[in-house]
Amino acid sequence: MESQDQFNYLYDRYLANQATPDEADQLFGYIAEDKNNDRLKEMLGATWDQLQVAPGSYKITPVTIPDEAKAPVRKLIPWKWIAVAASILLIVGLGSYFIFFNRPAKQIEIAKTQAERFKNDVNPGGYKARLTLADGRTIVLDSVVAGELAKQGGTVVLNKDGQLVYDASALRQAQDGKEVLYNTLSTARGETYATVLADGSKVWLNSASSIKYPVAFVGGERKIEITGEAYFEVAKDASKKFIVVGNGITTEVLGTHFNVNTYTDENSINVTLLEGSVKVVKGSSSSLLVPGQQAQITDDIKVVSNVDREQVMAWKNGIFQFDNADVASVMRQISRWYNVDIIYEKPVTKKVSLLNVPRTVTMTNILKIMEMTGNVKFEIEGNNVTVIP
Amino acid sequence: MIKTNSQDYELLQQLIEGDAQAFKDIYELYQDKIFAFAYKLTKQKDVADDMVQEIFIKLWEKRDQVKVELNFGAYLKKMTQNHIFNYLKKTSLDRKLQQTLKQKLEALQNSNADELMEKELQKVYSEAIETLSPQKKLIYNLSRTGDLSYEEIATQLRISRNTVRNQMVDAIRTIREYVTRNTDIACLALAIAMHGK
Repeated sequence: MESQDQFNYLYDRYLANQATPDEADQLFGYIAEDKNNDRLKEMLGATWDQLQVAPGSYKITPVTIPDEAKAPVRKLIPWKWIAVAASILLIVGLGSYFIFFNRPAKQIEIAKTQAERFKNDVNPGGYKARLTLADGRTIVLDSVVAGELAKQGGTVVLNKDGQLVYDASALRQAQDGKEVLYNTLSTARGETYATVLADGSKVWLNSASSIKYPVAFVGGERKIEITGEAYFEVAKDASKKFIVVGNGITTEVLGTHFNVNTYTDENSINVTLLEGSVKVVKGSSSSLLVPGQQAQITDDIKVVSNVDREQVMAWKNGIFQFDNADVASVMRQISRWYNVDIIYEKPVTKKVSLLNVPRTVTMTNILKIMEMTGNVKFEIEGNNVTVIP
Repeated sequence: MIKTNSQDYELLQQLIEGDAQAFKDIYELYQDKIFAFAYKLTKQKDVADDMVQEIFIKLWEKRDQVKVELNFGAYLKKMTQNHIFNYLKKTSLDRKLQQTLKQKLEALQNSNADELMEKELQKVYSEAIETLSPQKKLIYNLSRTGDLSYEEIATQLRISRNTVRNQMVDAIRTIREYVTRNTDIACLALAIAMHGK
């Protein structure tokens, strides 16, 4: 229809600041007519849809919410909530009247004390693990069950003091050709264990981790597979390279002390060298580390020097050590050691410190220390910890 | 022994707090577009500014009618459309208002400055986007250029819709600050340049 086209045309000219005074008059003539109302609304809608604005293009006066609109809860909440508030009122007591109805929202949050937010405590983890033998049998280990556990192909497996010891002294030298038997030691959240391998190498296993290793080291190399995190003190054996494989990377050692963190929920895979020398391999990249260095592996290998050893080794030393670390990385360790799930209301960017805090304490103690910074608050309910920024 | 109904208490709290936060977010996300739209239709910055105030205050007052889950974009579009519609209708019946408008229109037609400003703004705007972190930049571009909804972006990137919204709010705030800071300088340079002619 011609008049529709004309209306459109004038509208577009107007928008583009090209309309002459006469055209503007015409446009408003159309707008004044009620029969064009729907059409106009459509055109406005299209203009809105097509509009892309660079934020900051214009200076806009900030909107201040009028005070009466910020009025006490009562004005805005339908009947259902008033009834609820009233029942809470009855239970909590008269003093609360002022908290619910007279104070702005912020103060209600403060009113919830730590005692109210921490509904229960959580016990720390302990020495416990699962051992899967070469024949598929599974044994639950804890430091309580001592003594000889099994004999596998001439190797005696002992369990004492939270350590699994592989005694291969009775094994004869002529072992080549014999089948290599593997054992897997695994921990769930809240568990930790250590083992001494047949060559005398010591391995500490963190929570939610596992190591798969040969019962006896025959052949040209000592190959270990891990998930999660483990710390190694490798016995020297120049004839057999010690290789740790985990999450797509390989760490080769001759004799040394190092920590491998392959947890999939951390930002990178980290291999930290304390003593000796290791070579870290990912795909076609490799890096040689010297003591004090840490290889951080994501898509490639990045080597960092002078890393905080205390922090890396803290778990093995039975403590929490975080020096101005972000809350999320602390909570990941808390989650593994206390076997709890962490919930975030909003992203948290604050930092906290936990210096030399024993892992043997119950969880509320850890959280209380973190709350003292004023940067974060927590709620505990059963196995769930909610982080409130 | 009556136990405190902590669940209801929490919901109550969320209603109060959630709304204030949601309001701030919506404000961050939409103030520029609402202003630009109003200005484009009324040709007057002060009128546009007033409208932004009116719309957001009305939104706050009616907030108990709006759930946090709703598509705020659509709701705000409707509110803004109605406001502008009413303004245009009023103007069409008022000679004096029409006079003012025509004058503004003429002033806009005769000035070159706006066009140059437009170019300068585009440049600064692009720079601002480059300062964003990779994730924010991606989310912002998917939303603005790709025209994806927050839900769609969340699915694409395997993050929550809330994260998308929070990142958008941050991104827009960052861009706005950058643009404001740098266009003041651009304005000055422009003024000097024009003066020199």
